[in-house]
Amino acid sequence: MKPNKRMLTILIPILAILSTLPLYVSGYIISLLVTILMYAILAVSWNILSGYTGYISLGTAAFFGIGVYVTVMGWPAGFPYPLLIVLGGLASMIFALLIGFLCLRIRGPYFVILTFGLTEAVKSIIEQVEVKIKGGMFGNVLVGAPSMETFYYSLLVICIITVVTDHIIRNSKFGFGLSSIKGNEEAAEAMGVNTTWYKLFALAISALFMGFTGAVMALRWTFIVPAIAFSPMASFQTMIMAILGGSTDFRGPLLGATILTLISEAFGIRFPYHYMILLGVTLILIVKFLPMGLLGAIRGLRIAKKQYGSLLSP
Amino acid sequence: MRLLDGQNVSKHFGGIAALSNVSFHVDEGEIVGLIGPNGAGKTTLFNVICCFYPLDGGTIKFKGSKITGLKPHQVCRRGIARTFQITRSFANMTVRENIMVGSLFGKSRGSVKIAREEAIQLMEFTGLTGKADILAVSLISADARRLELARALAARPEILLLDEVMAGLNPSEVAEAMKLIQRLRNEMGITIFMVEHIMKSVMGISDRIIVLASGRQIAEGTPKEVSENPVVIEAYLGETRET
Amino acid sequence: MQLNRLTASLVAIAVCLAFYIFLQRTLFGKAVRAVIQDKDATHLVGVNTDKIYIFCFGTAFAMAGLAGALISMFYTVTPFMGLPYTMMAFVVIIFGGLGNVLGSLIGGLLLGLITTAGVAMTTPGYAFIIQYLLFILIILFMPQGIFGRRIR
Repeated sequence: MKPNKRMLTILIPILAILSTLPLYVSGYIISLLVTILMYAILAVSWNILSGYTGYISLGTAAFFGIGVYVTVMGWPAGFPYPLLIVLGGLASMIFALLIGFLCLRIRGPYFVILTFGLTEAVKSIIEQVEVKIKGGMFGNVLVGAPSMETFYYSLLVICIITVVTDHIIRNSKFGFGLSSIKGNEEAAEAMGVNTTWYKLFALAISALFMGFTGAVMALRWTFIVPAIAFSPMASFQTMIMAILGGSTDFRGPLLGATILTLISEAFGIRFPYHYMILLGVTLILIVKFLPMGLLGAIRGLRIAKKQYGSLLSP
Repeated sequence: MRLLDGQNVSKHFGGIAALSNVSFHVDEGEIVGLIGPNGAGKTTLFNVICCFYPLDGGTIKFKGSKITGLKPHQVCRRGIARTFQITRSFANMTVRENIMVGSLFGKSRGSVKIAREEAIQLMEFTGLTGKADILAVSLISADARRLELARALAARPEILLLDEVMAGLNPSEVAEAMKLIQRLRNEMGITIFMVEHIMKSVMGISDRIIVLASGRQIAEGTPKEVSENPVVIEAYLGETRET
Repeated sequence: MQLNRLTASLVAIAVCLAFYIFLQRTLFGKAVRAVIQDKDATHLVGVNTDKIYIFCFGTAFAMAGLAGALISMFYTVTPFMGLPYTMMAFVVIIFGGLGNVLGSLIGGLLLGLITTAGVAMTTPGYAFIIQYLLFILIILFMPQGIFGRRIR
């Protein structure tokens, strides 16, 4: 996908609208958009590692949660909001680099299990640390949080940065390297791709954006316990959103994030478990019938029409 | 110049000695054939040259410097490229993109734009131009081999390790492949080290042949010398009998 | 010694052994073991591999359900109580080697011992971390498990 005039004519109006929305739209829609943006960032950055290299990670919650806890520690200490976001991302990225050496040696289903366990392990550790420091699990309350508009703009900026990064990666040498790892990791190595470094870098970038997002969301939620910050649901939802939309580039995760967030809002607080059932069923259906996601299926139909349309027309 | 120099190379898996004290060399500009019955250790030798497995004994030098202990991608960047016995294309990428990976990460390491141009040239050279945007996974066997070769060439190797490139090709395709390999050496100056079972081809174009059996080197020489060597005949056909 | 826990352990061991005998002595069990080793080859010799997969899937869930029922005798029951056991299950399987039933049995015992010892030295909250560390160590250094076949 090369940047061209057509894309810009669509993008610029959209960006203009998005950046002025808070002026003429209700607070409820802004807060809904904040949620959509959160998942959008998570899904697009998840895709950078898992979509391109095929290393399916269920560790999103771990990286996200670290960002959350940076704010939890830094906000009461008086750190300014933008600094917290940057620190949240950096902390997550450093963590990713450290455990990446270990985790990325492992492939396939074991990698999925490993990343899933990672979230739980980090959660357990933080729980233990909190209990030790405070003598019990009391939770953390953050007072004096910024306005919903601030969250909206912060996440919008982060989202744009994430999407642009993804786009740059996709068409660059780095992107080719990542795709080749998915295609055949040993052949990639034989062709000169330093797969270890590439996987690590993709993981680190992913974690960076997830950390940014966590740092912001901590102030939106204001009450944080490890179970909330490191909820496995974040990992599962992110993955399902990206897969639902299609993982070839950022458009799939964005689409998936929007659709599923809207559906979950529709189910509301009254039917959270119905929503989870739907999530599970969606995953099963996608994997069975639409493994390339919605966008992938549409693209497949278009290619098929091109190839076979000529056969059908007189 | 001696490109590849292996001394007393040994590799075992568990209790099985895949390679025992194999010494070999490939000089610049040669086409060297590597033959031997199944299980002789030919592919293992390739794997060990490319550092897919660590060596258990001996050393391998490329252009005078040791390459044992390097990682596979480093070996590729030094100028050694290979094809695989069972083709390993990047299934999720198109033919063009597959070849571009070779360009981007091989010895030349150019930009995406240059890689695109090189891919077009290589597709022409190997006859894949019409299939440029087809996903590699949907290629037929002969085309998949062409892609393997094109991709390896994109890495601008000084020496190309070909692992049974001609397996499963019909006689006319084999003749075509033989011509192509000779063009690689004559026009592009690439040294060739090839494993083959199709005797006609490997005997036909090799300057020199190395024979492996059960992990050991049992003969080396010109095609004529090797084909008349009783040790080689015995290894392939079993003990000769007096009738 | 609580009778509940004793009963649960005995039932668990009995079921494992019964399954092991099933795998070793019956024709269907042999087919299952064959599929584990090479699915396509088994298919080619005339075994309905789909049926085997369905059977294994169903049996796995059935055994998990049985385990849940046993555990409900001495732990509180919630719809989400299965999560901690997920990691434990993975560790046990890797410990024993994939497809090795007896290995898993012994792996389970070992895991229980190590976890209890570890928790006794620290606090109950560390149970998951200990199991996770075990998982990482085994995956990295002994991916074939203690009893499994060598994975190259």
